[in-house]
Amino acid sequence: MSGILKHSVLAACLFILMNSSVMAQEKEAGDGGQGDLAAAATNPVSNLIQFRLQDLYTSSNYNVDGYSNTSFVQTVVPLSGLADEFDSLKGIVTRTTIGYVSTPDFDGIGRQNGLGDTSILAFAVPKAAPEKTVWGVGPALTLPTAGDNEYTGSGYYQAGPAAVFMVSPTKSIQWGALVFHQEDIGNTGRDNRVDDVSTTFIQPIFNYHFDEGWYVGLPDTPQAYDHEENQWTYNIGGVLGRVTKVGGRPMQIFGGVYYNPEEPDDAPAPEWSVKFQVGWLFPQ
Amino acid sequence: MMKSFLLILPALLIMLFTGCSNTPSTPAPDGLQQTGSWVVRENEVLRMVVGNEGKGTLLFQGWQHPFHFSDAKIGMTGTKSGEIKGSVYNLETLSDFEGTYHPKPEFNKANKLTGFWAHNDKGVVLHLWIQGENLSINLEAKGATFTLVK
Repeated sequence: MSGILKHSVLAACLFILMNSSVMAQEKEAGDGGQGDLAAAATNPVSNLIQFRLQDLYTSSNYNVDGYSNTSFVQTVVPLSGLADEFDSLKGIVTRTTIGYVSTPDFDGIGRQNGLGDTSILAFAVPKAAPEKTVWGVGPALTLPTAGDNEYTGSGYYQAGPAAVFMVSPTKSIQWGALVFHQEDIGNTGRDNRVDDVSTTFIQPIFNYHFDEGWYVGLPDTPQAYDHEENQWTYNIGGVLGRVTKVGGRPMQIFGGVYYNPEEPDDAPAPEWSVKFQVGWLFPQ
Repeated sequence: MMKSFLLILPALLIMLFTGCSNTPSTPAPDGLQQTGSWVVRENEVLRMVVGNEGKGTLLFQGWQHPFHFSDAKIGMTGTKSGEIKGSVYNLETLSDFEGTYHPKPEFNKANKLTGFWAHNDKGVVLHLWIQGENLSINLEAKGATFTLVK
């Protein structure tokens, strides 16, 4: 434990030094775009290239012992060249997420680790929209990149529709929702697949932006309804985040606490979780 | 995994809470509501040194909008360039960003030109300032014209 503490302190000192250096540079001139970059970073269909590293740590799970953890790599990539082919479109934005999963301690088999499935959301964002509103529709796909690991992935190819809308009534407020559905459309052929997949994901969006890139908001993790099991998995909570510059590069950093009050009859499910993200933003 | 978590946690919190204040040096005049921001990157600034037009990016309502502008000349006194950044005030509808902006220069206490305030006929106000000691900017008296690009 002392070794961990030592490394933590070292990491903290490095970041203090990095931030001090950045501050010294930036006091020479203003940077009024920090809040606007934060608004773009929290817009799920922004045309802002992003690379995100996230960690979701679940300290307690229902019906199983021990913590679980998933580390995510997420990219947000606007396909500007493709969108330019369609006069009616403002943009096409893809969001791809892949996770590395560490399960809780299952009876008799212990903790299992492995690559999770890959989720891809793509949105066509039309120019025609009510004032201060952005919306998009497109496909949602899941690729069974977990392969034969029955504990970290479903074993199914999944597809379904996705839709998002977001309203920015003022510079400070964003609200809306992101919804998508996943239905299994094929499998990897492995024997130990879960039951058929039919899940709807609903992510309410609410963010309040303060000065200097600070914001608070609802979790960026959706509520999920499993139609096969008639089971909700909630992520109730909030996040505190900021867009700031580190080493001259704008970054989005946030932390959040999530709670799922819905305990399944016998299946494992997360109860309390915390999520952290470090994301790099690549404005035009 | 637990070790990684414990290592990352304090670093993230420190990054979050020790980030810098980037408030522009000049406060906005009364009655102006900042609604967006814009930037001209260094490579475009270099283009403006030899021409009088360039491209920039407007950040408005969570979306990046590229734009083109003309009748703005950049002077460079050294070998190192920089970015031109600015805030946008009173912009409610994207199309109102377009138009001809009439400049009013802004000076610091040492009477050195640090930037411009400029407004168009739709009431949109741009504040621009120069990030780089070797740059000087000159907007033509008739005004600089901004046009959104698809």
